Amino acid sequence: MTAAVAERPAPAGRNGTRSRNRIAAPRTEVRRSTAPDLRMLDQVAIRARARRRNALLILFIAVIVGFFVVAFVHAELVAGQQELDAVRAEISQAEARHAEMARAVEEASAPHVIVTRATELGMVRANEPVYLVAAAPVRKVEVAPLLASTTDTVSPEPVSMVAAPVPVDEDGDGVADDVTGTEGSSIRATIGVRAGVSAEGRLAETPVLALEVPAPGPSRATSQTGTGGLAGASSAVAGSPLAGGSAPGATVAGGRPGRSATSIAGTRAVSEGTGGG
Amino acid sequence: MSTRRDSSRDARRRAVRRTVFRRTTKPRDPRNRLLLLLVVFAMIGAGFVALLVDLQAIRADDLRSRGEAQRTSTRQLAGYRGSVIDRNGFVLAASTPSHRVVADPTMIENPAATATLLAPLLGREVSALTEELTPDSPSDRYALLGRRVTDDAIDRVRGLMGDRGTSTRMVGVFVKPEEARVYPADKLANPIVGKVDPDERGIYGIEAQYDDIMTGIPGEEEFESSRFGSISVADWKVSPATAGYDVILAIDHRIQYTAEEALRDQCERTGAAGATAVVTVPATGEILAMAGVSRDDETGLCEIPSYNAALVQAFEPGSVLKTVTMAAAIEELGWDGETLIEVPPSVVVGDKTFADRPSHPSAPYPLSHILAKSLNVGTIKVAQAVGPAQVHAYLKRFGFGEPTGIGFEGETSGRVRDLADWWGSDAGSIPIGQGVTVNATQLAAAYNLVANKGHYRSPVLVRALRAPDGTEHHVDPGPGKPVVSERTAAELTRLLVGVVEEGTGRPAAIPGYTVAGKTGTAWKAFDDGSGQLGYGANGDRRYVATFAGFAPAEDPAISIVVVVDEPSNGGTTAAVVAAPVFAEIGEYALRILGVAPSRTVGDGDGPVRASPAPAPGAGEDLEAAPAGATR
Repeated sequence: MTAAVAERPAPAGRNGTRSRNRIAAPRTEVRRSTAPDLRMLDQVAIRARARRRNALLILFIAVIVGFFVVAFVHAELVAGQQELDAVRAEISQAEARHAEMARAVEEASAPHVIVTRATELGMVRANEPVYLVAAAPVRKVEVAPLLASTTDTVSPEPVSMVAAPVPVDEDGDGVADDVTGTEGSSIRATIGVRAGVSAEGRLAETPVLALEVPAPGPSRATSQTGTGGLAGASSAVAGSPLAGGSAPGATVAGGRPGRSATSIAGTRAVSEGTGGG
Repeated sequence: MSTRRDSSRDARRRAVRRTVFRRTTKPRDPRNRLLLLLVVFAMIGAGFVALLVDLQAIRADDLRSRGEAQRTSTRQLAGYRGSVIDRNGFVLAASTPSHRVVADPTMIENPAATATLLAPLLGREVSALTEELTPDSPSDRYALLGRRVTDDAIDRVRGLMGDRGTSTRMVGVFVKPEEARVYPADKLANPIVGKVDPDERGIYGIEAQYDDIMTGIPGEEEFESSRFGSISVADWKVSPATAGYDVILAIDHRIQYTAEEALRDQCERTGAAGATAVVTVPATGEILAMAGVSRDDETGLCEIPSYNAALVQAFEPGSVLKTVTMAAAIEELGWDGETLIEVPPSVVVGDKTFADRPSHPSAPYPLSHILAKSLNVGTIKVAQAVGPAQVHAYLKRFGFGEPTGIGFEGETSGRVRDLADWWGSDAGSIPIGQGVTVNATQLAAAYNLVANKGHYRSPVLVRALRAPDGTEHHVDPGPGKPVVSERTAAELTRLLVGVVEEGTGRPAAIPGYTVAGKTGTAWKAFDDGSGQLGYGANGDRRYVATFAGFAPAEDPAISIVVVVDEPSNGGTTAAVVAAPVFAEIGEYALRILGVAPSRTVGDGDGPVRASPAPAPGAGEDLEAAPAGATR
């Protein structure tokens, strides 16, 4: 009987808990101590808790790392932004500098500045221009740019299909001669028109004398040195139609001694050879 | 035994008492605590919600705007004013970034000390700067200390602002960006280009005429910034600046410079009051140069004025207008240069007697001779043959008395009176260029008409407008209009070539080129103290010397008009004063433009360089002609 009483559970309290104030009948602790308080472990729940714990840990670590990443990115952004601002400032300064230099170039290229500087350098106005007297009608010919260096040499043959003046030291006197050529059908005409460019790059002040184009013969470029004679007396112009059929050629007479030949740096008068020589 | 029993009994009593006591006290309910906690949290939450509503709804706009204002910065983007460029791309006027230094005088603690620091950098006197930095009143909060300050000086000013020792002195001093207008060629073509005021508004010239489209519209850049600078990833609003249009002139700055220098030299040499020149391209009407000088009252030197004399000054042209009379005769009567006209020594028109000097007997002269020698009586006889109505009509057809169409502010149309208003000797004086006023550009357009095979083209000063994107909008002056036949134009050209080769215009000859032109020496009306305008008396005349012409005559590349006002030293006639300037400018312009010589020159073959000596038959005026005399 005693055992039956001991096994009867104590009446539950108001909240379902056993009241500690109730005066219970004497218990036999022997049976209770022999009954281990065992319960079944829910392995699934344990693993779930472990997973949650791990996930929370990972999340925590990720948040911490994220904070550092954000801080790093922000620092990089700030540094980059400052660099960007600095570059912008440099661009603004460079643009301002460019504008300033452009204005300086324009001011330096103003006519009165050039004239003043030229006067300071001892330059004087050019003499009266020298003009060619062509026996035949003349036409304007576009000017090709002169060679940058007078040490450059260009073979006078063949003369270009177009009448482009080329500085060539034809006679080897150290002064580049101006060779101009035209060509039409089977005719080639070459007329030296200018004294040339000196080794210092300045126009040589030598007279331009008459150049007489000989009768039809082998086609060859000629030039005139302006030093008083023809360079290559054998220079010839092929094709009598240039000289009006049977006419021997055209005559080019030139400037006066002691005058600069600068005036023809812009246009060239070239005989088309329709007249006789 | 009883003691044990008593103690047991006491224990039971205490237990009973304790039980009774506990049973009479209401047991604690844990839900109350939860409820209390819930209430607390609810109150806190309600507070947060209230705060949220306040921030997000009630004061949202205000707070948002305050936040934006704190983090938003703006930067002005300059909308530069357009440039003025010549036909070759040479910049005559342009805007460039610059700085000005300003101050708030009320913030300056020690004006003298601040002025001492700034004066050497701004190139100003310390006393003047101190005065400007001293506030006149509490409302005096702006002082402009320097404009267009150099970059070097600006760097040094900023250095003073950042330096510990001087920064306190610089409180109230500010550096502000601004736009500066520069004229790289200084006064070159100044009357054409014009000027702007400190606010970059055009005052006169092209700067004023095209002010609306040349003015740029400034832009603004709005961005968020932090203490570290701007924030690229944030909002970045840009209202782009719009630059003004560039104005591309037909002017060639090289020819313009040459013309100005030639006029300046001639003005000084002849003691003239001023001189004007216009160089144009006959085929297009484009103005290559429009130069003028006038004698400065203070310095006594011939300087480039601020007004464009070629458009705003009207003068009586004199004999250069005889070309119009001849054109009427050739076109209307079918005459040519060989047509003979009986020319008496003098002729009476109205109340005046016109005569030629040197005097000549009554004889038939060809039209070419009349023009070459600039015979007044012969020209009047021609005008009488044509009739005043035709002379008047041809003056109008040649563009006189009308605006040129350039649209330049202050341009004068000159004066060609209606035929009904002609009276007295007008029928004699107007055909020889007196009693009518023109400007130099009108004269150039009239001679262009002759050079352009009888086709009138309006003068063109502005060649194109260039948009900020580089697109060029060419200014179309219109198709022009035929005025005289090609035959008339060719015959006039032949007569004008005769003027230069055999007549009064010899000093205008340009070696290598065939020049066609006409001289004109007009009496100038002036107030001799009587309060009325008059031509003065013998020995007290004032003249306007003019030469108008073009070259090469067979294929005109340029036309030039040169006007010298009141020459007094070394001759007063156009042949002596104006024609050599024509030759000087023309020779340079033809060479610059690459116009090949058209004729044989040198060694006595062909025309020679003009000499300053007057040509035979030139330089004498008809003192017997009270209504005006020209040659």
